[in-house]
Amino acid sequence: MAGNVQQRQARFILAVYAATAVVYAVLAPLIGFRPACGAFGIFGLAGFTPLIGRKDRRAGKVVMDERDLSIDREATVAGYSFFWLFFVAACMIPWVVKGPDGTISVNFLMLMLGFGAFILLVVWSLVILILYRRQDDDPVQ
Amino acid sequence: MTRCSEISNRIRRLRFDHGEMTQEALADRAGVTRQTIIALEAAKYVPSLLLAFRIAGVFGVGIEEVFQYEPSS
Repeated sequence: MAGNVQQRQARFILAVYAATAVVYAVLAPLIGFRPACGAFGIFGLAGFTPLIGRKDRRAGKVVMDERDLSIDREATVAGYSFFWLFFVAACMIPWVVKGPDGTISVNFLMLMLGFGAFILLVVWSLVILILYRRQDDDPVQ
Repeated sequence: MTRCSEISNRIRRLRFDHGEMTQEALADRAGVTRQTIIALEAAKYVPSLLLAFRIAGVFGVGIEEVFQYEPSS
């Protein structure tokens, strides 16, 4: 994969999530929506993200400099901002729909956490790719 | 806030004047990635003071010879 470590990590995360969505979309009509939720286990592959760039780090190369940290900071703020928006919406919508005396399944809490993490990482990945793309590579040495 | 357009630099010229130093070589000596050098030369990134001094140190010149500040009116 081309690009620096953060770009490769961002693309890897988006690829894992896209694969999860595709597998779920294929399985759901075949075995049902709830059983197909097993496809979300593919998310776990995103745990391997820190391994990307390990070879460069071991070789003593500079993997993250001040510019990379600055971009990472902006992407993290964006990710948490969208997570917060989602969290507020997830809390408010059931209250509006069900009313103050309504009840919801505890599964909703787990889904809220899972989707919140999903949104955080997807937004982080997209913002990383967008911010790096803005500073176009100039191949001329 | 300092915008990229207010700070210009002569990094590319200085590289060529110092034995046609490559972006990779400058990046290694300044302790940053080659992508950062590319962004600096394209004036798409404003370095920190520390990085600016490091780059000037690589060329053995003062910081004003590498970076110039032109306030926008």
